[in-house]
Amino acid sequence: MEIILNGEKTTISPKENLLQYIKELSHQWEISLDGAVVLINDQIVKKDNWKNTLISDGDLLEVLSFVSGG
Amino acid sequence: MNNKLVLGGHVFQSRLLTGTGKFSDKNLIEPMLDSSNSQIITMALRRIDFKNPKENILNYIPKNVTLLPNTSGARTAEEAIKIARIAREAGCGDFIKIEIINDMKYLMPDNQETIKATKVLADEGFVVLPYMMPDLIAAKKLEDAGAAAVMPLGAPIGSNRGLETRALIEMLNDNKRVPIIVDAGIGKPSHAAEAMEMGCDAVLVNTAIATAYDPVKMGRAFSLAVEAGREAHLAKMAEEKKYASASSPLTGFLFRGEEK
Repeated sequence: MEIILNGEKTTISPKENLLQYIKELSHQWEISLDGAVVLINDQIVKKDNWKNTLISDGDLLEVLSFVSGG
Repeated sequence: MNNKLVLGGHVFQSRLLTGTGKFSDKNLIEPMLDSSNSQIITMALRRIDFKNPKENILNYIPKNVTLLPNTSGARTAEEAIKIARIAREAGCGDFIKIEIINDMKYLMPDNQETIKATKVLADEGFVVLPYMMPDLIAAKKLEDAGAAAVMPLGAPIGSNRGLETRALIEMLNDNKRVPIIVDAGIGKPSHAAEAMEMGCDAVLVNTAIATAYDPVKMGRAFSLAVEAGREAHLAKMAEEKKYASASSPLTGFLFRGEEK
């Protein structure tokens, strides 16, 4: 299925849940996403709910992080 | 006189706010917070670039420090409001620095959009600290909109040029109902002291500390300057005079003959 990940069209295989996909991303890019802020279709998904959240075709997924800034 | 900084009901001992931007080594942030006594620090929210990820800045900030996420990257009130809500839901607390910029050459803030965002976010219970171009009318509207402080720029972001807008900030100070925090442009401790001497309530310093050769030492230098400036303001400075006014008696000089 196709989703928009951080503004880019991305094709992904069907996932059990959001937590699984975040783990895959973390593994694929070798980065820790423990502190990531995740939004699906403009709604924030709290970390505790990642495992109960499904990703659907066409979803807008934003994976954000707090970075240095003034 | 109350010598504490109060923002949205929260009391702070330190009048120096700092930022996490531009440190060559993020491990310097914690010792800088120690040396500067700063209790509030800014950070930004960004999409993760998977190909070139940045470290989560929250891992470098001690728990007792108040987080001040900014809305940098927002070009409109609507975008700033979204960022603020995300930051709060992500557990960053109620403080938000509104920064709405659509001029990329001078990085001047858009006061109109900032007023709009301030109203919405203050109504939602945020402690709103809007970064603004020092304009008396805009400052009054920000106060009416519920801003917890007003943060005029001294000079363009990162320019280190000091209080180029001094005369405009004076008007804000003379008419304020909330604290005035000079944000942007402060390049050295003497600039910070000057802002405090003239009656500003606090300063926000990022670049000048982060890009100093020794950010930890510079943090302390700014802390001392802010304190000195504040004390001078409270002590009420002696007035400037055009001609000399001797500090020692002008009578009874030695080695002189009888005056006729």
